Amino acid sequence: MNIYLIIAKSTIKMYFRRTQSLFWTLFFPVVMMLGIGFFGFGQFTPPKLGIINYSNNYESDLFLEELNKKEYIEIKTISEKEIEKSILEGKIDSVMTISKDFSLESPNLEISFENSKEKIAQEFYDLSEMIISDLLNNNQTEKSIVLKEKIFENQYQGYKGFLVPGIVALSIMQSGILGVVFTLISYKTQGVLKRLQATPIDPSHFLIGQMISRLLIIVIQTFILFLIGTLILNIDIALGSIYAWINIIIFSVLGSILFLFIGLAVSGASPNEDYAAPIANLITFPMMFLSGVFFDTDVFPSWLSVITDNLPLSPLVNSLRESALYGTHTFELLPELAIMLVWIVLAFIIGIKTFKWE
Amino acid sequence: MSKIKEIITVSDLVKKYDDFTAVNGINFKVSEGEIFGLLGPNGAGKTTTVEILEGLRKPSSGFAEIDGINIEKNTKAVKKIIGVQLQECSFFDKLTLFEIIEMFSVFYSSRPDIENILEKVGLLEKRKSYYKTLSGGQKQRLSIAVALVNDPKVLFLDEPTTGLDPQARRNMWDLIENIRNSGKTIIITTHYMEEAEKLCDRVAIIDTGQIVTIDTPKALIKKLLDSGFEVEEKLQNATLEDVFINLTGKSLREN
Repeated sequence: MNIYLIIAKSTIKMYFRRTQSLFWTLFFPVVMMLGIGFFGFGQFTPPKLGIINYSNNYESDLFLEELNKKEYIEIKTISEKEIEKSILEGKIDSVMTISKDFSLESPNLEISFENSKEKIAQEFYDLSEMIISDLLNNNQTEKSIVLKEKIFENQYQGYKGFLVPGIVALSIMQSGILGVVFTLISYKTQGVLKRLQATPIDPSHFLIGQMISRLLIIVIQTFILFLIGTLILNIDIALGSIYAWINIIIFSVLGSILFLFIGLAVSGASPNEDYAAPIANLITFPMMFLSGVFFDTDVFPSWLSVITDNLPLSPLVNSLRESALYGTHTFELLPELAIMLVWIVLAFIIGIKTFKWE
Repeated sequence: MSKIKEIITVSDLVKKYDDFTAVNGINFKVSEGEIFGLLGPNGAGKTTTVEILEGLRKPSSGFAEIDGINIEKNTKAVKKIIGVQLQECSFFDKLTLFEIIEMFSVFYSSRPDIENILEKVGLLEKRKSYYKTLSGGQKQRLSIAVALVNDPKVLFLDEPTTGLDPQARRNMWDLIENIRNSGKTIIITTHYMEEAEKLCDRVAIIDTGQIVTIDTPKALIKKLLDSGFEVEEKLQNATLEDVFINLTGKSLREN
């Protein structure tokens, strides 16, 4: 039998026999997904209104100024082109178009919304009416605010749709880094690696076999998690799109390789097993919050997002989210691909240089 | 003396670390079919010597060959014909004994009768158990089973009975003798003198990286007595261990 084959067979057997690894790589992400997905923390965020302003006159400024004073809503100025994407990604809930001939007496406003957001759109409508009537000192105004439903091809999936690809990416990182670090460290301290060195095979075959098996496990795990997201959380993942499939395969494989190499680098760089877990946590923990797993990195100041956008996990989160939710074409994800490749090369060099057999 | 083929030759072996010489010019030869013991206090250089012979470490200078193959120049070829049981080595905890031996057979590209090997070391009933469920003595015997997958010419046993209870140790002695009787040469390191006396055809006593003496256990004892050495108390014909075994029996306690 081939060396890689027997290593893959054994590693996969051991993975399924180790309840601990199953817990962290499958059970835990599923619980997190379902927990957060069902409770939908997303709904606690303030309603977000996108403004397209064609008028730019004094009265519209006055109106917007009043609108901006309302702290319980979030206002974003956007352009016509961004409407669809912003609504689908849940960055805004409704769009208010202020027409060129806007005046307080004749407020030509159009509020359009995606069909699941009718309630929020109605709130914006009422609010606008109130502001205008306040500004006119309660004088009766001409009712020219239009509330309009817009049908979009894809629907905003809610926070759970945002969350599932994030959790999948997170679990790729966790099982990549922790899987390698803990197995290699324990093989090292228990003398398994030394025993392998006493065999006629080149021990690097064992390492390669380990990596390949882990890669397989992570890809399987990725599909299981997406499947659970689709079936249980009812997310309408863009899996009808061929690009979604291609990208999920490409990026989960690249992501696995990347984090397996980082795991290799961590186990090489830590002087002994006592350092390995803290170093692994030091790397994974900040990325959990800085790479857009649970919330959009838009909220960061721009100097910070320069850093966070280039962390190893960020391109994986972005690419999986784009692919799963919108079936984005692979070409549009080339920047993500590039960042990941750079990290892969870096982690590989550090891993190879620092890894010791004893 | 009849002409016996020498299977291991070690000459002027030296292993230096930065500030410390672990092995300092060791010479010995081992004949085919012999059980050869390396004795010495902790840190004397036994394990380093064995690990050089196993191809795990490169000597700083000197020369060693097994079955006519230079270890340093042709490490892989030597690894193929030796069996290795390492000190403080464990295996994959969530694999069964059968799976572990199967895996190592692939690493040695050999196709042994796995059940037969497990039978030899008395672990056949345990073939479907996970490694982590084994007792200390069973782990040592598995380690020997793994060392037998390639039907080696020379078997290296590094402290195979350390930490075992008297029953398990006696069981291990029987196993080692059986393996020797099947025609293999065995190199063993140990801290237990009665073990060396019982098993070894010849022993080398190593201290501070050098061989102090090499001979058969009997000859070494005779030499000591001839030099006028006397045991302080009157020599007893039985030891406390004999009492222990007599009272608790020889049967293994782990199953």
